[in-house]
Amino acid sequence: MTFTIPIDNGDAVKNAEADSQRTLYPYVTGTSIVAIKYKDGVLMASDMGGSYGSTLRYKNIERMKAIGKHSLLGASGEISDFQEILRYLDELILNDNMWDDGNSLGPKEVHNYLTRVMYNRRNKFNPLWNTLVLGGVKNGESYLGMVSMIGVSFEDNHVATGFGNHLARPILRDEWHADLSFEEGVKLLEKCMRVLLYRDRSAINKFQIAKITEEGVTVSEPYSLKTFWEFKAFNNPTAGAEGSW
Amino acid sequence: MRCYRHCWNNEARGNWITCWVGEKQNEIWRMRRDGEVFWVLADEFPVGDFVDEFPVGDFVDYGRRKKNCSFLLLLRFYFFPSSLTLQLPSSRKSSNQRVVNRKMTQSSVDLPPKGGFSFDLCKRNDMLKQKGLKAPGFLKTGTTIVGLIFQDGVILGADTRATEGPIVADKNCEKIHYMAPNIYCCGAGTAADTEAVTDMVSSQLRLHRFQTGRDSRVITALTLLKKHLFSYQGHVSAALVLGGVDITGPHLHTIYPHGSTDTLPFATMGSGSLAAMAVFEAKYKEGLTRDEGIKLVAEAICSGIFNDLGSGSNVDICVITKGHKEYLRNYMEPNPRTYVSSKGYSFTKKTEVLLTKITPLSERVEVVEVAGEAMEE
Repeated sequence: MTFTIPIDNGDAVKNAEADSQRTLYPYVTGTSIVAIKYKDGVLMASDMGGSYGSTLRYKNIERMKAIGKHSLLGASGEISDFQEILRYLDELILNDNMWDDGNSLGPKEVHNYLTRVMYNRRNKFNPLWNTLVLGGVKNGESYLGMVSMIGVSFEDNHVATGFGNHLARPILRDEWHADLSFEEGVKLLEKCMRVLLYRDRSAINKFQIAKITEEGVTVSEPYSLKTFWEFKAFNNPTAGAEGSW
Repeated sequence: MRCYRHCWNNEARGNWITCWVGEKQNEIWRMRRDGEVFWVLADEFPVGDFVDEFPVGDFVDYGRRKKNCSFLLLLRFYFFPSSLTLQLPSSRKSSNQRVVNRKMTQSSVDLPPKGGFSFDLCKRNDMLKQKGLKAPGFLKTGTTIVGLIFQDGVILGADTRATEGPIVADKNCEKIHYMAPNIYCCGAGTAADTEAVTDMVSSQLRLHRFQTGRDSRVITALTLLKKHLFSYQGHVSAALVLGGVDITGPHLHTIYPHGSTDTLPFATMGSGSLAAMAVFEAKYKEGLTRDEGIKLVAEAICSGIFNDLGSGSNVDICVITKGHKEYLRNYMEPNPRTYVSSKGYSFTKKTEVLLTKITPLSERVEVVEVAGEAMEE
């Protein structure tokens, strides 16, 4: 019995009507995800906003979900495609459970499955418009990997998607080191999320942090970060130059 | 040869003056200030009416006659046996005054309005492009530049890489430009634009200092830069971080190519600005000491150097406080050339010399002196 990989209509390219079923642009999008490996496993953070173009339409979207016993999937990009991926993974895990043989799919396997799905969809010019972050712990080994919408996949000690590539990665490259404790890891992630909150226009001040360890997956309750706006230069920027800007 | 029409534009400020010259209607001659003449291209231009006559030797700038100017337009020089006069449309006075040239056809020509933009060369540029001339590429800086305000003043920082597309054109250029003894400006974008604009405003500030007898203020530089950049509608691709300490205190501003400005406690510009801003947003606080400030600026520039492809090489820093400035060129060199052998090169054994024998050629060859042919003078 094989796992079914979703294949869509082979005539899509020829059939003009089916063109309207190809993904051309994303509509409701989630912004960045930042994740790091730490001493006991993997920590992942995301905000809870879903933007509809330039409107912040949804403020309660959970962009991180547990997959099976060992993994956590976070997605940025089109929310509907993320939900579709969750359905595929649901089927995958269900089939795996039906074997009932004591084995379970670990993060490496799920990552590989997702890579195949994303790459195949891209080859049909009908991509799932997401950048996925997959983290997990199995048999004491922690794993953190990323798949983009064109099928580029790799694993690393720290990953960031979307705007996090430009804003969070420099901080992570500087300050990540092996064997961070839980508190240090959370502090590092919060530092990155705070910078993203200041400088990414589609970020909102409502975050979730998820933790994956050997024991399992926990996703925290939503909370917000403190921000600081009291710089003197912000209070009176035209001091000494009345009327300028 | 008579000059029928002078179209002055920005070029008049430089070394070139373009004139429509010649008996033939479609010749364009370009003259340089030192008098050398080049025939550049022929084009279909209607001969304009000439309206004013300026005597030979006068300096012309934007159509205004300037006396006592050190630059003399020497029109009477070796190339022209007859004297040459320059005519200028008298749009300064009234555009109704026109003296029609009896020899040429009577065609009215549009005169550029007083002030404003001059697009005189657009037609010529289009024509050149059609004929296949490729416009020269410009050198962009692809940069990380930052500035921050600390307790005693302002610290500016910049990387030192200048890129031309994917190639590093200059691996140790200077991006922190001098504006005034108490004001410095970092520039990102097209290297020529940042150099020219900061140079120009620096000169204007110097003249202003002569006139007022006071130290320049940062907002003066800001307003001069802003006016210039806005009038070019973003075509002058210079994104600047301007910082300095004047009588009113420390100031830090960013200026965008279209002419908008911001006043900020910390600022970054250039392709590496997001990497540097990440460091600033995470670590900046008010009331930094000098050493903390320098450390933070160096960290931000390093973040740009290592995380952005358009920035690289070394870190330049400039610290400006009240009455004192320090320009730390190559403060940090985090990309040294490694693996250079200190011993230099040594070559393996050369070809062995077995025997040396010198035979003067005169023994072998008969030398005939040809008499009577002295060297030509």
